[in-house]
Amino acid sequence: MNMLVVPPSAGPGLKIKGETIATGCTIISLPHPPWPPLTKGGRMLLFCIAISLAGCGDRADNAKQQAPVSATDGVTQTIPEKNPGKKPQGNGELRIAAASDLKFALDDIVAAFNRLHANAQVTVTIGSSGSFFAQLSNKAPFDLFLAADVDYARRLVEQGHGAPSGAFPYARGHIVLWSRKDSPHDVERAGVSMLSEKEVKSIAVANPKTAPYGRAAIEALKSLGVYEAIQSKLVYGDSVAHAAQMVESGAADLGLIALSLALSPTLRERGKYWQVPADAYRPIIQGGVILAWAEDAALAEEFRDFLLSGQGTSILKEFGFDTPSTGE
Amino acid sequence: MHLDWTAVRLTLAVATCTTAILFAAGLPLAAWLARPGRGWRFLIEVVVAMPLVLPPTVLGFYILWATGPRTFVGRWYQALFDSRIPFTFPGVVLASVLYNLPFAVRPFTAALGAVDRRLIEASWCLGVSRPATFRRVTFPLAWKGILAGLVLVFAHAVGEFGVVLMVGGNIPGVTRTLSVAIYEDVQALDYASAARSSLFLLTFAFGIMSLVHALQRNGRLP
Amino acid sequence: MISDPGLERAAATTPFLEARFERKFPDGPSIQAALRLPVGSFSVTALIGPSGCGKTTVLRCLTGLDAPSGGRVTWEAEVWFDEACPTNFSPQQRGIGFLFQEYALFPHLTVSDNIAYGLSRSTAVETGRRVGEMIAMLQLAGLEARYPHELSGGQQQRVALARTVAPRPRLLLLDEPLSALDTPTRVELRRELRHVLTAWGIPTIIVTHDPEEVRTLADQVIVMCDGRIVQQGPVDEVFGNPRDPQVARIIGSE
Repeated sequence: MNMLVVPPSAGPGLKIKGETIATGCTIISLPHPPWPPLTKGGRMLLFCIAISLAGCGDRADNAKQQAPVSATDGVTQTIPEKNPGKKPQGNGELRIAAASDLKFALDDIVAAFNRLHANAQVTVTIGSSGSFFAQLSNKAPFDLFLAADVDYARRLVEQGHGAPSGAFPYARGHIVLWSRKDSPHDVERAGVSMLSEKEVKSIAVANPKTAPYGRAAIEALKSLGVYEAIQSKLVYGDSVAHAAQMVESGAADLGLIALSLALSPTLRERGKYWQVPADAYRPIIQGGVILAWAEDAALAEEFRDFLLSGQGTSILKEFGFDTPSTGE
Repeated sequence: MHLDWTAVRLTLAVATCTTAILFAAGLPLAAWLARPGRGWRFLIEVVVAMPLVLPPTVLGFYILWATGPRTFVGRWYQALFDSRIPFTFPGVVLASVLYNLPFAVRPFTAALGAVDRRLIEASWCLGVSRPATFRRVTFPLAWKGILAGLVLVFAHAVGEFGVVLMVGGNIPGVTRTLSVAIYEDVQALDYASAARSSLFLLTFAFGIMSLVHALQRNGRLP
Repeated sequence: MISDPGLERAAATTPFLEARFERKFPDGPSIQAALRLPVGSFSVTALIGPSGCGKTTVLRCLTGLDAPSGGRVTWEAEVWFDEACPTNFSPQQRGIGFLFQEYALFPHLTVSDNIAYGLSRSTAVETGRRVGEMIAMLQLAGLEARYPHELSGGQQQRVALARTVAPRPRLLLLDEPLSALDTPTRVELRRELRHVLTAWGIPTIIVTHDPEEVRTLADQVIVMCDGRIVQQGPVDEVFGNPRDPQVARIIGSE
């Protein structure tokens, strides 16, 4: 009988004679192959080749993990995983894909979480919910998805990509009309009529095709009756954070952005806003889902619970999020 | 075939404007750089070459930052043209020109520099002025390299994505070029539309390179 | 400086090309030239010296392709170069014909077009006539439509000469016109060259390192060595009485 030691591999698994060998530290007995028994040197060579192939699988996978998988304005916050080779279940790492309006709120939440779970390594990647949805539909390597629309989470579950626990709403977001503090456009007082002013030449919104805040913004514009008039002034950012950046940099005059971004440390002192009436658009119910391939599902569940707990929701409230209404 | 013809026309318009501007402005700059001369000239060469290594999003960011309506440049432009630079067609062309500068100037400089200096001097000694010498000697001998640079610029501008995304604002019919449209389609999971647009770009690229190749082989380009 | 009584006598009535200049180089010796050539009537002056002594530099400074570091160059009453003013006429303004050592024929133009190149200010008829004249004189008939790379060395030299002389320059500078040719061609062309130079009657300066060429082609000779003019005067005189062994070596052997 030939024996082959298969090291742990994160690759698709070694296939020998059509049998996929299970990954994990295993010593496998193989039936005697039809070719003549190999010499000692020959067996050594085969062994080395097998090890290298397993290693290659690791490296390719790690490369995928370390390459930025976010949308154009993705921000990966902590160091990427360095260790080759998959660790056994419960590796203490959590990779979160989060909608860009959560950026600042999530910073605080993750910090609070780390105080309770000192060994947890949480990585957050920011982008538009739509882009993440597309990537996760193709099994992008994240553990937890926090979208700006619970719909995306539910669709992932329908596709079979969600963990058994299913989609969960965690917050309700709001949109505001935002401008820089030094801008001549007084949004706080004028509100929606500001949009039709002649001096306002460009209004930034998130792309409605890929960002829930963009969709909500367009809805609001339509229900407030100004969409037709100002449609030519709209400029589309990749995500709501990109839209915010366009206004903040001065390139666009006004923007319809998330309240959470307006209240963030970077924008709070730099701008003024007018809250768009909530009945002008369908409620933005933000929801998330743990992914079926999450490496440390237990840790992901702990994080989700923390997010939904009193501590998590109070942080979210600071950033203008409401609790999601029940029954959604 | 149902293709996003608005985006196609816009893309070709951006590429054509970029190529024309870089031909008019890049050639004199390249001619100056190609002259044998002072050492500090290399600083200009470095600045020209920078878009080669700069991420397009960085360039786009700086263009937004420098030409917004509140900046000096932005206000001057507003006064002249009653329009803005970011999120407009001229803004996208500006971004494309800056990003493609090295793809034009470097081949131009190489082609012009390859012309034997003695031929130029001989022309001067025969009483022909410098501009006329450029027209009658330098350019005819360098034009294949110049054309190669122009084709490169055009093809590159057709595919330009990062800068256009940053500076353009993705406005349909104005700044939403084909590459940005493809990106948006993919994000919105409209793979069919993305595939059609991509196939068009691929066919176009293949066609243009084949045409140039065939012209060179036929000797129509001496 | 020239101290030839014959030339001094002529000075009173003859216009001169006068040049006294220096060209410094960052890494190496400088080149100094002081010469005074009568240019009212035809004469051929040879500039001879070992390679690297600065002959081509002198020509280039006279043409205006290089600017001297200091000095003054005048043609009759025209000041071509003066560091004090400062003035520096471009080659186009000086009206000099310069024949490059490797001819520098335009590869993308035919023989006719090469010869006609400097005639842009003439009408088409005049240009055609002048080109025809040059072709006949230099025996280039039948080659009008050829390109430079299709010509032999001797033919290229003749085309280059035709091109240089066609615009009727007032001074002709030839930089080693025969050195790129093999010996039999060189001997043959030497005779032809003297013939056509005399026929044109344009004051000429020829740079060479071959004493035979000096004897065949020139009336006056300037001997250079290490960037300095060491002797000048009529050919017979200089060749008969070399000032020092250095000059003797240059004009004797080489």
